[in-house]
Amino acid sequence: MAGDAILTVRGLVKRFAGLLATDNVDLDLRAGEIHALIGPNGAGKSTLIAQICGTLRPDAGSVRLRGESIDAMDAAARAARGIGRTFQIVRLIDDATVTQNLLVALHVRNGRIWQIFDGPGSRADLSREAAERLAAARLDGIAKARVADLSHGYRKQLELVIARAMKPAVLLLDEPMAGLGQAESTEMIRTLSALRAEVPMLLVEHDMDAVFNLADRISVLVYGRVIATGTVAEIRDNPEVRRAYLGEEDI
Amino acid sequence: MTDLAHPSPADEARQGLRLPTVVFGAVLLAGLIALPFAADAVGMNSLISLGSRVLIYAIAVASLNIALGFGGLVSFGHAAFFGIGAYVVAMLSNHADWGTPFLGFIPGTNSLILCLLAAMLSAGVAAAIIGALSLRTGGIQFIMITLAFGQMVYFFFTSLSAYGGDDGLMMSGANAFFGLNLRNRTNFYYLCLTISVAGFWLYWMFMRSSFAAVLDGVRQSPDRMAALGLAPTRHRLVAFILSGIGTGLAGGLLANLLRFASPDTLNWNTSGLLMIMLILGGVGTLWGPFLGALVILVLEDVFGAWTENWPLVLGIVLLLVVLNTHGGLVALIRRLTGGRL
Amino acid sequence: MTLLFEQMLNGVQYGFMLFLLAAGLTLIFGIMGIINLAHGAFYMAGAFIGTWVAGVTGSFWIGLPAGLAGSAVIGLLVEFLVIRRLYARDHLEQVLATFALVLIFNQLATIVFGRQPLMAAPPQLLSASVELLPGLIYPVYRLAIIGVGIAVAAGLYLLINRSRIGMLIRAGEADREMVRALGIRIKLIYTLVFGLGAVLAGLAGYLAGPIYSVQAGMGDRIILPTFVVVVVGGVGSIRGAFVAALVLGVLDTLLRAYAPGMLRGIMESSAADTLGAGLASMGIYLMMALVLMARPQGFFPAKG
Repeated sequence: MAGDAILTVRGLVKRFAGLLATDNVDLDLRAGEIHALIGPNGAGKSTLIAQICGTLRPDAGSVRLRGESIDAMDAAARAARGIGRTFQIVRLIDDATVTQNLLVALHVRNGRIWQIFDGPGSRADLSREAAERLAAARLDGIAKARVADLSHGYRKQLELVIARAMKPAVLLLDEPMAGLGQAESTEMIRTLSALRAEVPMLLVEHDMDAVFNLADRISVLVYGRVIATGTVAEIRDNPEVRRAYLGEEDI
Repeated sequence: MTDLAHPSPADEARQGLRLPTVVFGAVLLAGLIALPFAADAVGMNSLISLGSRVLIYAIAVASLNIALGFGGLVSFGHAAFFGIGAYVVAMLSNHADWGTPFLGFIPGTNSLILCLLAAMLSAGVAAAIIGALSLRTGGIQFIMITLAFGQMVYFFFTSLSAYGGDDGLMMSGANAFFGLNLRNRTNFYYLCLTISVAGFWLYWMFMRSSFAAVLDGVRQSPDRMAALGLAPTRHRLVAFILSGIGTGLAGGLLANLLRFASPDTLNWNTSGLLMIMLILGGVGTLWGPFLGALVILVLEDVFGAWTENWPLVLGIVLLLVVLNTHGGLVALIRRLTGGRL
Repeated sequence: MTLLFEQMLNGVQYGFMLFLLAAGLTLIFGIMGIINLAHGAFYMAGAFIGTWVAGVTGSFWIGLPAGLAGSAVIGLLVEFLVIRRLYARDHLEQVLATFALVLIFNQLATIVFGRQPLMAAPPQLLSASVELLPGLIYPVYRLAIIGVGIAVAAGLYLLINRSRIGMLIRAGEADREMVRALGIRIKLIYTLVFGLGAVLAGLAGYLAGPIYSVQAGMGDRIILPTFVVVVVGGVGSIRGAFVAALVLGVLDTLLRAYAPGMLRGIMESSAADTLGAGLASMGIYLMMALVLMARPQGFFPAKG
């Protein structure tokens, strides 16, 4: 089921005041897989995501997307090249409606960002696509709601719809379950699972139920180092992982 | 980061034209068309010049709104573009009088169209340079840097003794426009009105544009836009340039009205005044720039007639408005009319 | 050569003036996150009140504390009535509210003291000149300003690095939210810092009296170069303000002294004087543009 590596991370090193936040990290994200990245708080997961997205410059190492180096690109250029992401703390255009948020993303995707005097009529095609995408995600009921007024769960879902609409090559999800209720979590797991065929995902998550439910492979990050990568079963049985990390939790 | 309580800028435009807006616009336009007749009837000719000034400042404030309201770029240097517009017009028409080329190779001209185009072009180029440098920073630095660049332009023009230096540059007459006598205040007023209506229409189109929607995203959530693959700086710069061009046009018109390019147009107080008009009218709104310019200039006229302490009054009004209101006059009117406008 | 040296000293003296203003401004921004356009009002207040009292009493030394007290009172009033309500506001509202204060204070100064400049004289003790080098006779008063500037810089260094208040100030720079969470005392710190900034500005204004003219709008003229100093030095950094103030002070003074002369070589003299003066005025802004191209955050970018 899993195919070629789409995203390859090799030897990423990032130091903060002498402390190694990521220590020579290697990671592959293959076509068709959900690759979970787990580890205790402060293990360097967010730092790693930031380095892949380009919001943080690594001290050493490289990131390749479909074999092509993206090290020299800034965050926007990487995103334009196909690195999609969601944020741990949802980032949306708060003072705009759900539809408007999605429409802005579609404009950017289609490069229709410099039309200074076009009217709403000229974007009927994008409006239609936005409506379809919202309906597919069962968000059409809140299409006209202001994003700032939405519940946390809806905001997380909307961010995912937007990230998906950009048709990214890979999707980096920074704690998509955080703060969700039971029902919302179940919904999110179902959504992500169905999304697997569309885009490979790197999933940073603390909710172990979700991780074991979704992940095809898991990498365990401890003190900035990947101590193990493998299938769910392999990770469960790995003694080093149990000692370093999972031992703290009852699984 | 501007989290000033906008009455959601793009919103009202995106919804398209609603009946109250159309009615309000039509009544306003009728009133503006009728103004010279009314002024004649009551024998207050100065009202016509006041009307021209209001329209000119409204253009400048609407332009500032593109950078400040939509782009979130708090520029304290827009006097530079206003003044450049005024000076370019005055310089070109003076060169036309002297019969010498400007900078040794640009022929002077007295054509209104050419002068205004030159004013817009020059202000746009200045905005591109100042914007490109200032946008390397953000937040508080941006404010201070635009302020400082504005001062630099001020010192530049006041140091050119050939163009009047500290005294400003007089024009022998207004520009020529298809044989229309622009010294006549009514003629000039209608010219301003025509340009303002065209400008207002462009401004309204701009508010509904794809560019403005993306710019709104850049203002509110730059991280989100970067995650979508959009480099925010280019959008901000284009907004800043558009803003500069519009402000330059207003400056060029002001020079024609006064037949004088004043160093005051370049002063940082003018930058402040444009911002005051904008915040009083309502940041990011359709009618705010016009209302802000109208209220401030009318108040200035009224108070200026019986006290020389108008700046004190303006300062106190501004302080009270900033400390106590959110969203300016447009928000106030909207509250009073229950959101129908 | 002696002329160059004299102009350098003038530049250093002007630089310390700028530093007295910039230190307060950058400190207020660094700690409170407030941009205060009306900082020049405290400069003006120190100059007007101090010079007026000195004129009435006939003593520079009575005028000095009066000027400082006056600027402190006005500073604290402004903090209490206006600035306090701006902490949670965005920069645009801070800019507009403090710009309103600029309009108000300039007009008040005109109403109270009129349009004519007030005359100020250096005290007897400092009114002499000394021969620093053979042929270089320099006013003691300007040297005294340099001395005051050095003393203030040293005092600020000690205050910030060695005192309890300084510790809180540094903590505030690092994490405003954290210090804010410490509770009510942070308000007191804010008030004290704002007052300190106002007093330093007032001191600069009073000392400036005998050199520049004391009149309404005098604050505007010095506050704009001060903004440049703050930006070039790195917003929030006192060290940056110190370096930038001296560099820009010297640069500005030298340009003013020499630019017209140089231009006179290539053009008619009255035009050269105006253009030279204009270019000199633009010098620090050009410098700012250059610095920004290399280091967008200024010499010493402050963290947080």
